[in-house]
Order: sequence, then structure tokens, then C-alpha cells
Amino acid sequence: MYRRFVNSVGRRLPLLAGALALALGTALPASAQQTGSVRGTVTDAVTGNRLVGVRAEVVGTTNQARSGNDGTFQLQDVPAGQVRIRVLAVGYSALTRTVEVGANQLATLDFTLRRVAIELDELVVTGTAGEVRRREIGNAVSNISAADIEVAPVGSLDEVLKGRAVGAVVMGSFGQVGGASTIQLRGTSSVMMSNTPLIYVDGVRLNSNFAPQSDEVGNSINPSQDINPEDIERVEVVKGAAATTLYGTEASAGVIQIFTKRGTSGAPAWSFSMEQGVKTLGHVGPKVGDDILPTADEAGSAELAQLAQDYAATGLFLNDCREADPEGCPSDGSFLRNGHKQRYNLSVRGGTDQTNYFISGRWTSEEGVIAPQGSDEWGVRGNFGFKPVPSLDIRYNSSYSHRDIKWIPDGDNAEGFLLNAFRRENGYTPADNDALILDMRLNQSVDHFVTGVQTSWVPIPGFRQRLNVGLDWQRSEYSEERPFGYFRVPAGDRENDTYQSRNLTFDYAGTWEARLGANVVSNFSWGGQVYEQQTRRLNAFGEDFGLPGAKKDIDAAALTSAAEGIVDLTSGGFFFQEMVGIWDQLFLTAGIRWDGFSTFGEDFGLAAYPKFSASYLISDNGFWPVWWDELKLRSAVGWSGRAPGTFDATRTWDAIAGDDGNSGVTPSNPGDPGLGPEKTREFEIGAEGTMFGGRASFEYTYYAQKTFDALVGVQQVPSQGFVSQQLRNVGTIRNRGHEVALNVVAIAMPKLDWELGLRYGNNKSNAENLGGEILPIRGSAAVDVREGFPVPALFGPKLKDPTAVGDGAIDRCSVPDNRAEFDSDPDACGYLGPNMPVWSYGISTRLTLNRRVTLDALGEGQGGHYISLGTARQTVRRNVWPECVGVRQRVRAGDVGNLTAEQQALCANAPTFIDWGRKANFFRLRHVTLSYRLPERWLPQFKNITVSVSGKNLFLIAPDFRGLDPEAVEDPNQAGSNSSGAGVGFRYSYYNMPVPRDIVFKIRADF
Amino acid sequence: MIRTIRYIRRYDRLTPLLLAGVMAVAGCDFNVQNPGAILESDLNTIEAVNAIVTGMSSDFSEEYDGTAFVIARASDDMAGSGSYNTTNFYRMGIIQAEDVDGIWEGVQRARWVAEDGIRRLRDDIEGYAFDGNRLTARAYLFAGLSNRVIGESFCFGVVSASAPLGGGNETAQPNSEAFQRALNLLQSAVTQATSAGDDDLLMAARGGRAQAYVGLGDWTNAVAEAAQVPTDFVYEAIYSDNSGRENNEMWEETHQREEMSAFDTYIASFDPPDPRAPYTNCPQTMTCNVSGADGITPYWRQEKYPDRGSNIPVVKGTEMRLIEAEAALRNNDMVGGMNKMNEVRDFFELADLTATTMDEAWVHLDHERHLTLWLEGRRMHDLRRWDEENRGILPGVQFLRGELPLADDNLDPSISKRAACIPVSFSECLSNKNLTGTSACQ
Repeated sequence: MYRRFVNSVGRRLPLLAGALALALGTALPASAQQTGSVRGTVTDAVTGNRLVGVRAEVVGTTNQARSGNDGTFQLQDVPAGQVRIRVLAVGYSALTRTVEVGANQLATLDFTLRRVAIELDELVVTGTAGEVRRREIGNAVSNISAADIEVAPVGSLDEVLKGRAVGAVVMGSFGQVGGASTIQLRGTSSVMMSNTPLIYVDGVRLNSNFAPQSDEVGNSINPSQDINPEDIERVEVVKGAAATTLYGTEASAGVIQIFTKRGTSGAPAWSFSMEQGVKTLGHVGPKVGDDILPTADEAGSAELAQLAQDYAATGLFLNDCREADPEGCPSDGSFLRNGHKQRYNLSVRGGTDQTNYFISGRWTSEEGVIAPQGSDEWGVRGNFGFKPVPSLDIRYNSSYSHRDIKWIPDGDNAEGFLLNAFRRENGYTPADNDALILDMRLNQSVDHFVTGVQTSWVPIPGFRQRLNVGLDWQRSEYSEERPFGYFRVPAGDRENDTYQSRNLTFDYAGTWEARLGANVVSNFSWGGQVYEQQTRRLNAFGEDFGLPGAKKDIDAAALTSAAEGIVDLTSGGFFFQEMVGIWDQLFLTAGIRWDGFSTFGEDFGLAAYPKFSASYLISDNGFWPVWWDELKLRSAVGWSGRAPGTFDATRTWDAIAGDDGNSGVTPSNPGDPGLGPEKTREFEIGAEGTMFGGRASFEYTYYAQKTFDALVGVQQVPSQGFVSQQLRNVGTIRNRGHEVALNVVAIAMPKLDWELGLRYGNNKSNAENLGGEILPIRGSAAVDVREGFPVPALFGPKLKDPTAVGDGAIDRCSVPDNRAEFDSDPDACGYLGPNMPVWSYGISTRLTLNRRVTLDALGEGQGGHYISLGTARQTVRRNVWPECVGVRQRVRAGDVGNLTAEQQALCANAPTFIDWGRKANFFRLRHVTLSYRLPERWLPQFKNITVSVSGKNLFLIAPDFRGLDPEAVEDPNQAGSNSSGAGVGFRYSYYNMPVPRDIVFKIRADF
Repeated sequence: MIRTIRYIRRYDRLTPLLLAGVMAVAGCDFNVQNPGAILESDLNTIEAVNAIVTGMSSDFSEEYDGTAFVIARASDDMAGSGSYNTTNFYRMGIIQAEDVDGIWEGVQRARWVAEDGIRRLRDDIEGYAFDGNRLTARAYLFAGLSNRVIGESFCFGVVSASAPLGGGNETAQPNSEAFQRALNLLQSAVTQATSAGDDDLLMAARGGRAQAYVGLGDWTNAVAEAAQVPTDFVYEAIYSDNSGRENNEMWEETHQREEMSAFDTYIASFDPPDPRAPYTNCPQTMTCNVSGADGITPYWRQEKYPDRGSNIPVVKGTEMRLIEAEAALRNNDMVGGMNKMNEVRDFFELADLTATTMDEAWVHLDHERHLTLWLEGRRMHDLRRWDEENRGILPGVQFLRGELPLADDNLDPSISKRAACIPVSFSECLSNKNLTGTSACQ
């Protein structure tokens, strides 16, 4: 196959050469003339802060400079005469002004920029050699700048994206400090492969998979958490296949590009920030009102009804554990604590026009709400820029971080802390001493090193080449230890799961920009990439340590075992793209990418992904109303893909042990030599623009995706020996949705500024064809992927009439497995609803008073999905779930006279998962921050000192949920969580720690 | 045009650089060798023979404990004390096709691996002395015993009736087909074991044939085979603490968690426990968790498999004596039947039983088989065949038919009859088009 790949490239080289020759032939020469200089200062219109790193350029030339640490730029060699100067800053409006430049003179031109949500002249990255203006691209891109998050108390990339990137659904499991979120862009487009977007940091592709660990934790970690938000200059979210074609195979789940801060010219500029705060968890239990709780009649007695009220009011034995857990309950009567949180950041940037640097360091320590849970983290970054000649720009970026996390057992396991606390004496701990569980030690240390060199060479105007070479190295060591004397394993045990990943990026791209006539510009791009990923996993386990105090290394155990996993993947591809701009108003783009991948079948060959897009600035026409500043219409269609797994194409056998430790073999994968990537085709159409002098901006996109040749795990005939599923290219998955973003500056006065923002996105997915398969995603939560339904969804034998009363009221549809009753009316019978959020929105506001006081708030909502409350289902039978206290005893005794079918079903000894499926719509106030910038005269040696206080996750509204927290769910990224090994995420509540609240005080000083 | 050519010449050094870059990408060796997977061709070598047969043993053990775990909960072997969804259903006598994918697939894999392995040993491996080889005998034994498990435990045997080994075009067959297939394969095991001089394999094969004959109701031949197996003989499925796959699932589900309990079962009526069915009364001894994983059921922990490496008997001489006892009772030979039962009791140093009527003798036989084969995955077949016969051959005999009180919340009141066999799995019904619309997949 790879020889075929090489031959294929070889066949296309003449085409490439010809195209290059054509492009080269259209270049225009430069000319020499008298010059002067332009100097200016760039400031924020609302706060008055000087803006660092702003790009200033002479319009129509490549002459540009960046503002230094004092917000000042200086352009050299500016042609004498009337010159138009444009400044561009991420997250700010572009501004162009004219200045008269005298020969050998210095002209002054200052700029005041306003934060905007959309700026059509801002520069974005599309996979080609250089940045392009937003106006030129036909697809939607979400951009989040440092200015957007400078006030908010964000601690990780997922917090940056939550509520800010339209079309991105960030599903969290933040109950424990250190837990990562699942990020999805435009829904679930693959049922078997990962739906996690690709993540690039300064051009280096990360391994964005979740590190493995045991299911004791109930949370997991992701490498994207290692990126310090304070280092982020901007984040670009490229959402669908229409935009990610040039990124090739693996990119159909979207791409997140992170750009970190770079050095600037000028004296060293220091920035220091310190955060101190507390993390708290209030009421832990179902938040239900009197309308849900049983009456005395329903509970069977006033006492039991009162008990239900008490449980609902005081929570389920974490807030107050004295009654439930007299032995293990801490002396203050609560298992919960106020976790201390502290974070320190220090950075410096400076340099000259030729060399610059940005160096930062951070240290963070956070305690979870239950001891000893917590995380300590430190990291350093060094970004260095060299510009030995004007045409060559070399940047070397490196970061290293280290985290130590202490977990507590959580979620779906017999030693989960919430599980045992909620179940009182009917849990697994002896004498209901739940504190014994906390003797288990679950530790994880994570090291992450990212380094890369970005080289940009512009030997002649319009001819740009870029070469990125980078390394992403990650190591996670997870250890799980039950000490000697631990109640479930008296002799103790210990597990070590070490995972190491190395990703190499080699990414070359070139662009030739040529003017084909007075009003036509050609932009021809080409490039090739090679990515190599190596993962190594070593798992060792030992038990029976013999004595207390004995050495606890695994090799000291009486019984040991080990396992090793080694996976190497290599992919490579190349692309060509041509963009034609007409009158700087209409932009047409066509491109194609070919990819090879080490996991494709022998007979497959290369995968081809074409793309086409168009954007049109209708507002550049003379008839356009003046008050409507800009409007871009855009449309794009493109293909991207996902590769199958390492051995999916090959017929294999597994090495196993048998006969007490002898080597054996067993069938593994049936194999399919024709196996190739699944391909996602996406069409999108939309518009974006600004009005009223930039005071209002909007963006709208409709997209329709179709994943064809979708990889589906096809059940093999078990009686023919190979029992595992074989991936085959047989499926079709559809996703479509709308994305809307609005931003309004309601008040823009010198001493009062008020911005409002709204971002909304929805997604409707449909498993149109699965080759006849049903994919069970989480059998114990009624979550499947089935043809004709959202991906994934909840299925089960629903009650026909939940309101029926009395004996015999329970009447169910049959279990919906190709049964006629289900097929005839799935909504009424066995289908509850989608399991992943269908819609999400973010509402933000920022109020600035007197340029010093800022109130910033962000709320986020998600919904349209259903979650099975496994927590309730399992706690009911322990007689402590408030909704069923008393009712369950009556159901058990057969005394159901005045109970509805729903009550009887919910409060049965073994309710079905579908009975406890609940609508999971929620709104959460992500943060509210009040900040104050101290007057400069108070501490004149500082450029800026800002103090702030923030509250995170202050309140939650989830009216229909009736569980703990719709965001506290089983982590779908745990290895092996999916019943079918599929890549589909799912939401399932099972004794997961709710999201705590944070109160954080912060001081930031720039000097 | 002239200007174009001039610029090409001026920057013509760039073109080779550019082309070199593209070629560097295209010329990379993308071939990746990932360790860990064994290819089909790797097995057709003489060096692979031991691993192939060990794989048969491992796959057999892998499914045997799982099947026993299902049957223990679905029969009257044990009470459910756990929180698995399936445990709740099994205790209610409901075994659904969608809940038994893993068990079905494991059993079918064990059967196919052994049968196809025999074909591979015979046809594909150059230099392997097939006949008279102990490994060949062992392969036949696993193939035969797997078919015996299918015949006893499942409602249908799904095999290729036309292919004696491995197969293709598998169809739903009655259980008798699985038993007959077991007999044929075990006869080959007898032949090969005899030729190889391996008495253990020989007796295991004969005992397996006796079991298969019981399944077919051929008591004459069952007794003939059973008589050749001494009372103290035991052939076991091998478990080990060497690796997770080799662990005994019955131990894991009862000693690592508390999914099923002997509380309120026939076994629990023995205090102290019968030596064939040892248990710990946890609430009494306080040496283990007092309640099951459901938080309600008193936890009486099985001790027949006290560690994760405890083997599970597959063929044993004590069962052979009970086969002989049952054959005697079927011939109305009460004394002969009781004598055979008491041979077993003598072996376990238990007092003799007496019976004055045939009904008493049958109840004793029921109890003796219950105790002797406890947690070995055999109980459901006894309940099934006796229940079937209860309607014909053996009227009036009251057995412990597994008719435990239903759990307190019967999800589907329309289901009144307890499952007496494990249905064909949902995965087989979904993937095997030969079964579409057949009674095996209703």
C-alpha cells in the first residue's frame, strides 16, 4: 500500500511542477522608492490598556510590525506620501487609517481598538502555509482570544471553550479536581472511532486521547488540560469536514488550533498573577420539591413522608454523615470540606525586532471537596522567535508540565465513595464505615512536553513556505493501591498503569500568491504532512503484601501480573488548493488532499478528500446600507475522514495464557483487507457580519454532514468462531444543525460599556444505516446506537400509561429489539430520546465602569437529551432515595392501591434504566467575575494591577432531572466503558461527584 | 511571458527545494510493524501446536465458569444477592437472548476453536504427527466437551450439520445434534487417548460420552461409558491466578463481590455444610461481608472455589455413579440406585441414605446430584430434563425444580414459566441469517 502511496505521489509530481510554474509565472516585481517611518500606539477602547503584539501593516504590502510591550509599533521603510496603515489584533476590530509619511521622516499614528466578536479582516489558520483573512474563507471558524478570557477564571482549555465556541459541546465531569471534559464539535459523526477533535498547539499535533486509568476513578485526564490558559494568545475552532479537509484523515471531528503568546520587541514586560480560592460542594442529593416527594398517603405514613422530606433537604449523608455513618464520619459531621485552591503565574516577554521571547511558569494546587482528593501542577513555557533576515521567521516553542493528582474512588464501582455513602448500611463497607474507602490510594502523575520549530520563509513577496516540525510527548503513571488491611483486600494490592505517547509532526506547506489581473488574485497552496504516533502502555499488578509496613512495590507482592501494549501509527498525505479572489469581494476555493495511513487495509490505497468553498462580501457593494458595516455570505463543502484502528484490517489471533500459565492463542479480529477510512462530507452555508460601527455582530451557519462508509462494528456469526466485531465500511451517519452567535454592545460610553453575547448551536444526528447492526453503547444505561435514531439514544420497555393507578397498572411495551410493537411506534414504546446534548448555548455579558471596574459573567445551557439515573435506580432499593421512601416498601408489599404505574415502576426493587431516564436540560452559571483595575498613580512602578473576585458554577437549574447533577456522569472516555468498544460518547449518572462551586480571589500585576 | 520566464529563472532554485520537500514526504516508509497480533499464517507451523491446544483449553475454561455462573443464578444452585441487571432477571427465571451474548459467544468460540484446531492440526501443519498424539486427543476432548455444554445448557445447538469440524453455514439444530456431535468427537478422543496411552484423557472422554448419552436419554450406553470411570476420577477445567483471563469467575463473583449467596437455598439447609457444597455464613462468622451486593440478602459465601485459581470439575467419577444410580431407578431398581448413591456418599465420608419408596429414592437422587454437581453448571440441565420428564416418564415426583419464589418485582408478569435453558444469543440471531425466523430466534 505504501509503495502505492509513493508511486501515487510520483505520478502527481509533474502536475505539481506545472502548477507551480504557472503560479511562479504570475508573480509581480517589487520596486524601490523613498521611504519614512510610522510609529503609533494601540490601546483598548474600553479599558484604555495598551495592546501588545498587535500587527500593524502598510496596506497592500507585506511591510508589517507588531506592537511591543508598551503597545507601540514602528513601521520602517514606508513609502513616502499618503499611506494607509491597518492594525489587526485577535479579538479586536481591524482599523485602517491614513497618514502622510515624509521621506526619512517619522510619522505618528495612534489606534484605539474595540473588542469585537467578528472581524472579517482578522487572520485565521486554515492548514495552508500562511494565515488568511477571515473574509476569504467559506466556512465558519470560532475564534477565542486572550481578551475574551482575561477576566474569566478559566483553568483549562475546556473551560475556555465552554459557552464561548458556538457548535462546541463541552461535557464535563469536574466533580473531582483534575477531571477532564469531553469536547465534541458538531455532534457525533462516527459511531466507532473517536469523536474528539484534533488539537494543535503552535502547529504541533497533540495526542488528544484520554490517558488510561482504572474505572475506580470515574474521571479521566486529557492532555489538553496541560495547556496553561494564561499562555494562550488565541484559540481557533474549526468545526466540520468542510473546513478540515486539508488536515486529512482523523480531522472529521474538527480541529482546535491553539496559539500561545509570543515574544514582543521592547524591554522585558513581566506579568504576575495569583489566585486564592475555595472549592465547595453544597447539598449532595436529588434536589426535588414537594410535588415529587411522596405524600403521607403515598409513603404509607406521615413519618416516612417526613423522612423523605428530610433526605431531600439534607442530602444523602455527605453533608451530614453522623446518623448514617457513625464510625467513619469525620468529627465535624461532614465528609465535605472547603478545598483550598491556589494558582500562581509569572511570565515575561520582550526582545528586539530580530529576536524575542515569551517565558512563563505556573504552579497550581487545588484540593477537592473530599480529602485527600486534589491536584498539584506546575509548568513552564519558553517561546522564542528569531528573524535573521526579514524573509525568514523562525519560532521555537516548548512547554513542559507536570501534574500530580490524588483521586478518590468514584462512579460505577463497588468501592465508589458516593455509592457507599448513599447506600448507608446497605453498601459494601463494614459497619457502614465509608471512610475506609478513602484508605485506597489512587494517584496519577502526568508529564507533558511539547516542542516545535515553526519556520516561515517568504523569499519573495507572495511566495510563502512554512515548515513545522514538532514533538508531543506525554507520560501518565496511574497507581492504585489498597493498603494492607484494606477492608476488601486485607492483604493489599497495587496496580501501576504507565502510558507513554510520542507524536511527531512534520508539516510542510507553501503558498504562492499572484495577481492575475487588476482585480483577480490567485492563491495557490500545496503541502505535505507526516504524523507518527507511538504509544506504550505497561500495566503491572501485585497483591498480597504479607505484612503491614512491607515494601509496597509491586514486586514485593506474592502474586504479580503484567501486561504491555505497543501501538505505532503513521499517516501521511499531501494537498493542493487554489483560491481565487475577485475584487477582494468574491473568493472561490478548491482543494484536494490524499492520505495514506498505516491502518488502512492492504487493498485500500490512498484516501482522497476534496473541498470547495466560496465567500462573498455582499456589503462591499454600493447599494449596501451604511449602518450595516459588513456582511459575508459563505458556503463550503468538504470531505474529511477517520482511520480504522491498528489491527482492524487484519485477521489476527491474540496471545493468551491457559493451562496455568502456558502460552495459547484465541481468535481476535476477523480482518477486512478492503477496510478504509470512513469519510465525512459536510456542506455548510452561512453568513456573518457587523452592524452599527461594529457594535453588533452576528454569525449564522447551517451545516449538514454525512458520514458514509462509516466504520461499524459488524457482529460476526459467533458459531463461526470469531466472536469479536469486525469494523466494516457499511454505515451512514447524518448530522445537521444550526449555529448562531450574536454580540451586541448595548452601551458604549466613555465611562460605561456594556456588551452582551449569545451563542447557540444545535445538532440532530441520525444513524441512517448501520448495516443492520445494533450497537449497545452502555447496556446498563439503556444506551444504544440504532438505525433511524440519534447517536446514541436511550431505549427500553417504556410504560404504556405512567398515570394508570393501582394493581396491574404497570403495562409495558416489549423490549425494543426488532419487535413489532416497537417498530410500529417507537416513540410510544421503546425510544426515550437522544443521550447526548442536542443543543447548547452560552450567554455572556461584560459591564465596564469608568474603565476600571468590570463585571463579567457567562452562563451555559445544554439540553434536549436524556440521561438514565443509575444513582436513583440503585439507591431506591436501599430505602433512602427521597422520591421512593415509603413507596418502595409499599410496592414491595404489593400495596399499590393509590400508586401510579410510574411510582410503582420507579420505586420497584429493580426498576428499569428506561424508567429512570430523565430529561437532562440544564443551565449553569459558569462564572461571575468582578474586577477592579487599580489607578496607576497608586503604584506607578506597575503598568497595571487588577484585583478580582470570581464565582464559578454558582448555581444550576435542571428542572426535570431529579438527580444529582446532569453534568456529573460516568466518563465515557474510560477505556472499555462502551459495551461495543465504540467511540460514541454517552451520558449516564451513577454515583458521580457533582460539580463543585469555586470562589476565587485574583490579583494580576503587569510591570 | 518573458517576465514569467525571467522570474522562473530567477527563483528556479526554489523549485528543486519544493520538489525535494514533497518527495521527502512521499518517500517516507509508512510501513508500521505493531507487535502483539498473531497472524493466521503464524499458526500453521509445528511450533504453534502447543499454543493452539493450550488456546483450546483456555477458551474452554473461559466459557465454563461463565456458563456455571449464569446457571447458578438461573437455577436453584444459588440465590441472587447482587446488583447486576441479569441477576435480577435470572432469579425471576427470565433469560433473554440479549443478555447472553457473552456466554453464547464464549461457548461457540470454545467449540469452534477446538474443532477448527483439529482440522488445522490434521491438514495444515506440516510435520505434526496427528494420530496417536496426546495433543490430538486433548483437542478432541475439548471439542466434544464444548458440544456437551451446548447440548446441556442451551436451548438449541447451532452448528453446521454438514461439517463435522468447524463449519460454515451454521443452522439451528436440536440439542440432540450437539450431544451426537459430542459423542463423535469424544469417540475420537477415546481413540487418540488410547493410542497415546493417556488414561486421564481417556477417562475424561468416556465420562463426557456418558454425559452426552444422558442428554440423549440413552441410559444403556451412558452406564456403559460411566462404568469405565472410577469414582475418584476428576477432570477439571483449569483456572489459575496467573492472569485475569485464567481466573475463576465463580470465585470473583462470590469472593471479590457478593453477586450470589447460598442463603435460603437447599445447600443452606446443611449446618455444618455438606462437604460437597461448602459455604460460609457471613452474618454468623463476620469474616466476610454480611450482605450481598444488593445490600439486602444475607451473604452466605460459597467456598467450593476458595481462590481464583480453583479448578471446576467437568467430568468426575462421582457423577458417573449417580448416572448409574439414575439408570437403576429408571429400571425400577431402587436398591441398586440407592447403592450407587451411597457409593458417592461413602466417597465423601457421609452417612448412607435409605429409601423405602421409589419417590423417596428419586428425591434422594435429586438432592445428591444437586450437592455433588453444585456450582458446576449442571443444575439447569437436570431441572430441564426432569421437568420435561415430569410430564411423562416421572409423574408425581416432586423435585426442587428451581421454582424459587419469584423476586418481588416481576418486570413482565406475562412471563410465568421459568427459563430452563439458555437461549440462542441475540448476537447469533442478528448475524446468522440461517436463524432468521426460526424458533431459535423467536
